Amino acid sequence: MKTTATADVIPAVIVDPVQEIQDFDRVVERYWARILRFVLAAVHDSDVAETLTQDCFWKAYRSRGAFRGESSLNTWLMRIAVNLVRDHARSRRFQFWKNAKQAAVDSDKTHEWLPDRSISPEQRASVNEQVQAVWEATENLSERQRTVFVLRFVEDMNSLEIAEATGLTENAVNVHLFRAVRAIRKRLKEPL
Amino acid sequence: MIRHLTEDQITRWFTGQPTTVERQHVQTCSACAGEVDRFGSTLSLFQSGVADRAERTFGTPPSMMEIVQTHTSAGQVVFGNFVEPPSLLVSLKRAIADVLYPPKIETTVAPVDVAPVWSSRRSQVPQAVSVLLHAAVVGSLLFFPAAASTLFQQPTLTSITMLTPKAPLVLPPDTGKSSGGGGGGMKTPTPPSKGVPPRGADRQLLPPVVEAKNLAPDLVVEPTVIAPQLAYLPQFNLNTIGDPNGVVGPPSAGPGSGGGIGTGKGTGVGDGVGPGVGPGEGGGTSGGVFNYGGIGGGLTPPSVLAKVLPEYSDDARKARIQGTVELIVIVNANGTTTLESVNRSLGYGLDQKAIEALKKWKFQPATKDGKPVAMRVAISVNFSLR
Repeated sequence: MKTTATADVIPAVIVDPVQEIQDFDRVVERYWARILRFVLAAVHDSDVAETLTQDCFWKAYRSRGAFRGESSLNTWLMRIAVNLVRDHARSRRFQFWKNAKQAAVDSDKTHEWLPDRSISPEQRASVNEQVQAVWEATENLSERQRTVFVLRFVEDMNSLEIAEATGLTENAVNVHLFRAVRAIRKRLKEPL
Repeated sequence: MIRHLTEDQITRWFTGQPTTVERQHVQTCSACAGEVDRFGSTLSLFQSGVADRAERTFGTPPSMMEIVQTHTSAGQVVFGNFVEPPSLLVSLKRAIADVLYPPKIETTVAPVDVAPVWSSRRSQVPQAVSVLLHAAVVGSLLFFPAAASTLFQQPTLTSITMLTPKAPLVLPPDTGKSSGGGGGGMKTPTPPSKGVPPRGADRQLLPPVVEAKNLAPDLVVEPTVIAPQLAYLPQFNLNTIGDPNGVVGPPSAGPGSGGGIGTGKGTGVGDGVGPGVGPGEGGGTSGGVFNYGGIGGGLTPPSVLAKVLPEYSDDARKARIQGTVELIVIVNANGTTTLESVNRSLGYGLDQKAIEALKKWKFQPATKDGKPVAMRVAISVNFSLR
């Protein structure tokens, strides 16, 4: 998808985030996939990810007037998404009547993990296996660790941006990141 | 210089705070560099995998032109293609309502009558034909077990071996017809003296004599009889040549004629006619039966013209007996066979079956100088279940 730009590209093109948010249609076009990607990796449920992404942009749209451009638009949207993910994780505990993980992204749908379709089946199987292993490993992280991990390694954000998006201090982000990576490495080394 | 990076140091590498020392180590140590590369590539694969997954799951984002705060009848806010999820209370209320009053599904399809396909039978002829055919086959197998046995379990006759029987050859006073034997005598008043028949040979240069007339001959010629297997002639441990059926006494050629020993005619030994030994005519030994193995000198072995495979006996089939029956038979000059003995037995009626089958065989008899003669052969019949 064209709109999947990385964090490095977007600030170079967009100078003033306050200007940028005026054209909200373009904002959605540009950031929808990113937010969706983050939320999906954070909640592991495609339906919930859709809902939360929609909520994220809905909230951003309603409060776009309050955006003062102190941070990049990407960080701002991501902060809304992080809060929504956190709220969702809390509220899910109470909504026991809802079928949990109705549209969970099953790790056994490994054939859908196809980062590159031009590789051989053997390589693809190996890649799928690695992606699946990390995907499963992130499930066992705490919500905050997973958020930090996904922001760092899926969204390519640095510690400062993550600190802004999550409302944590930079030190806390580093500690969470360290623990998340250590836990995932430990998990990956365990025999299946 | 540090040793290899610890797990924590590698972890720190990926969280962005590697020290200078660690950096230098990774540049020089291939093991640590490999570890860092491996996990780094795993992370980047994870990144692209999640991105790919997200893109293909959700397609294109909704156009924000559709963002108008329209409220549906249920009071939800429509946003793009999505519908705002109901509030906590509303969704709980709905969940309870769904449990208490499950929604009815209206069906728009009515059942249609279809003509019965399997319940009505059209023709009974194929069924009857099938039953009759099966009954015929099964019945034939039941009432003709022999046919069934040859049909399904036919023993294989893998070999007919003709070999030299080990039975010693005696010289019975056979009065019946035979193709061997011989006789002789010098018309002396005394009966033939008891002794050893001379060696058998294909040609007789000198008839057997009881007393050497010329004690110092210029050319020594051994007296012989015409017979192929003198090794089987009974040995009496007597130095003198004589008739095995003769009487112990002074050397005597016997009352026969022709120059041999005994009461018969000719240059042989015994009461027959000819150059052989024993009763009968022509060459050979008593009874006139040649033994297989003494082939040569104008003697050809018998051969099988037609053979019938033996049946398996029921007992043997049940006991699953397999093996070889060896029969000693005499192939007569007319091509028929006479059983002499069972050399190797299997039991379970298999010997009898082999003998029965052998009776139906047709042989080309053995010949001596072109004339058919009787010959003793051993025939092995192999029984095996397939």
